[in-house]
Amino acid sequence: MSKKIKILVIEDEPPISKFIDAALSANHYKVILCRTGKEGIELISSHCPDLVLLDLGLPDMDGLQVIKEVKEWSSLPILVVSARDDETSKVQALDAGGDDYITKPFGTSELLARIRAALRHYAKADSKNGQAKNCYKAKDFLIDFDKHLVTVRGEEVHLTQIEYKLVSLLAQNPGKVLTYDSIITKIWGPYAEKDNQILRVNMANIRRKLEKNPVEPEYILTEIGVGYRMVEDFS
Amino acid sequence: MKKMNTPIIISDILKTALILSASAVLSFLIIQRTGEDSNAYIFYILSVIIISKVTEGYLCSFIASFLGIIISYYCLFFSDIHLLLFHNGYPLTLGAMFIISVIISTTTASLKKHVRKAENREEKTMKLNEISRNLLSLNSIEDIGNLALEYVSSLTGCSCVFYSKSPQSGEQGMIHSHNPKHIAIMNSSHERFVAHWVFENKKTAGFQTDFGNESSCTYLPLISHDKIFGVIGIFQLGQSPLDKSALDYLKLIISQAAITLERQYLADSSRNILLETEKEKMRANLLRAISHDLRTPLTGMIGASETIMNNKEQLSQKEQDKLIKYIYEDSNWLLHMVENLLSVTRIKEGASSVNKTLEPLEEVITASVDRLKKRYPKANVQVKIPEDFLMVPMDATLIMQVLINLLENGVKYAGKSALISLHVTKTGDEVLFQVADDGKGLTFTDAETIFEGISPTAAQTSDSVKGIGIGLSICKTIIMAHGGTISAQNQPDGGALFTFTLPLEGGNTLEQEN
Repeated sequence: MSKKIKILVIEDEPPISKFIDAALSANHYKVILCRTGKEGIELISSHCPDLVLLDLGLPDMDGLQVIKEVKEWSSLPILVVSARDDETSKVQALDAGGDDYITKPFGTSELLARIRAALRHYAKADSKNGQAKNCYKAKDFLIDFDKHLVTVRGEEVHLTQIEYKLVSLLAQNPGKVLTYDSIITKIWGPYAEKDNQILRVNMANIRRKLEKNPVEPEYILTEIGVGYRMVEDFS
Repeated sequence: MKKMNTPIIISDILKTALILSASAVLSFLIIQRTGEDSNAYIFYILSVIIISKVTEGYLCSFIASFLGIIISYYCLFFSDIHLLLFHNGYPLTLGAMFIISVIISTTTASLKKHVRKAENREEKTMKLNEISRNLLSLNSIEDIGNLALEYVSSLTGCSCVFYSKSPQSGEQGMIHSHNPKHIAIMNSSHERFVAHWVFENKKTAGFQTDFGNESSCTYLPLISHDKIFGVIGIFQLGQSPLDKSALDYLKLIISQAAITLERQYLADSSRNILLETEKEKMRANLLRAISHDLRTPLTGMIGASETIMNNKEQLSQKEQDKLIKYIYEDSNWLLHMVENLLSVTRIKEGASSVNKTLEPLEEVITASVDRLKKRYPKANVQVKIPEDFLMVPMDATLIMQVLINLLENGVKYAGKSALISLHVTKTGDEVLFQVADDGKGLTFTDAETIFEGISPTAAQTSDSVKGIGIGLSICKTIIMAHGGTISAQNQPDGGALFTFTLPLEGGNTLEQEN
């Protein structure tokens, strides 16, 4: 690669930013560090990083505010770092426009994988310019969006209208966590009750139809308390 | 008994007429047969006594005395001896008879009245006894309030409301209503304010009192030992006012209810104190265990890193790597520990209060097994859950913590490649989770003290199994807070078996929809 990928890390705790810096630099990324949200926003506009790694708990402003401000004028991927046991803030960050989250504490390999995935999405979305793809494939699971056809292990799966809508919504954003609320809004409309029970019942039915063993799902992964994620597309 | 019912009056008149005519016929016959007139008086007196016995009040016996005189007179008149009538002072005898019979009838009537009063009183005492017995048999403030309300409402025939706390604290009163319109009035802010005033001033207020006369209810305080335990409001606007005896009776019921409530509050607070001490003990145990369990890995980490810093030249690359690996493992372990402790803070202060939401069982199980696999990629976990989709009320993060702790316990005790099974079954109104391994199993003392928060086998604790104590005690705390049970035992063919249950109340099986 001729040009190094630039990653901006907005993190106020030195031990963590130091370790992220070391890990990313060792993997050939160019790292810019900053400690406050305000500084971070300025650096985004001046340095144009390829990806932002954002800690939600910042000393000067709420991480959510940073996401909202940046997403107003830029679509660059934002990877949120959040503390475990705090589903609400994860959900809020994703709903505000965050692209993915990683929970503290995380290992280097997990961090690198998430960064690669986020960059890949961004590149894809950029190249297709928002145009939906006409098929999704992961292992032996295939969706043909044009024909409304879902097959798994070579066999056609019969899904109800709602189930198909759910599966295709997740498949159009592979690898990305969709929060309960965002799924409900997209499938049942903005005025639907924000009660995720009906969604979860539908997901359970889908799992029974798609997965070999519903307890060890291969295709649709559960991020408990947050939402669902379709495994990445390998087409 | 001022207002007598018409049927009673009619039946009394009939009785009187019947007895009088019977006695008239009898005395007429006897006089004819014997020619003796004294028997007529006996029948006359007897009939008056009987009439005063079987009829209500003075009236009938009085009329009977009067009629009796006339009848006797005619009996004698029509008998053979009627010629003697105006001699020998018969009028005097009849007059005396009349007075005697009146006295007898009034005495009987007043005696009857006393008897009835006594009976009434006894009945009330019995009822009151029953009320206090029933009240005492209850053991929650709400039930007591409800029962007292029921009694008051049936006694007065009015809609009633009970507040156990001042309505200004947001308390919604319990209402027994005979008319839906009353409920809206009783819930109005004005009525609630008057009830609040009663709580503040410990005095009766509302309808027909000095304070809040314009409201529709009368509010009576439930006071015992100068402390107020509740307020009962009786809807009286547009209702007939209560008479004195009902009012007295009402006061008795209310003071009875106040005493019961006081007793209940005392019992509750002593139970809370007991609970508090229990919790304090648990907390102390936990802290002791934590400080022991935290110090060990920290010492290891400090030692290892210091060794590397100071002896870089002397140590071979291999030895350094080994030390770094120790640090990595110990810090991972510490993290696990902290996560456990953090989960306890999710359990709010006070007994059994977790934030329960309905969660799909399979998602929680999947997430837990997933997390375990991240930590122990080689772990061999076999999962079996009910076919039906099941939503269980729980705090998912906490239950995941329990499952991870139990599964991890299996991995640690039975070995990294041991087969660990997780079986979930639905039994009636609860869900049963069973985590089993095929290791050596627990020693007998383990099974008893394992959830107490102290590593039971501290003496034999090696690095590989440290910290089990805290993990399990946290499991217990979490399950208890969910209202479930947890236990540990050995399987018949060896290997430990941990079982816990979660109540299903509120949650239900959602049928598969097609």
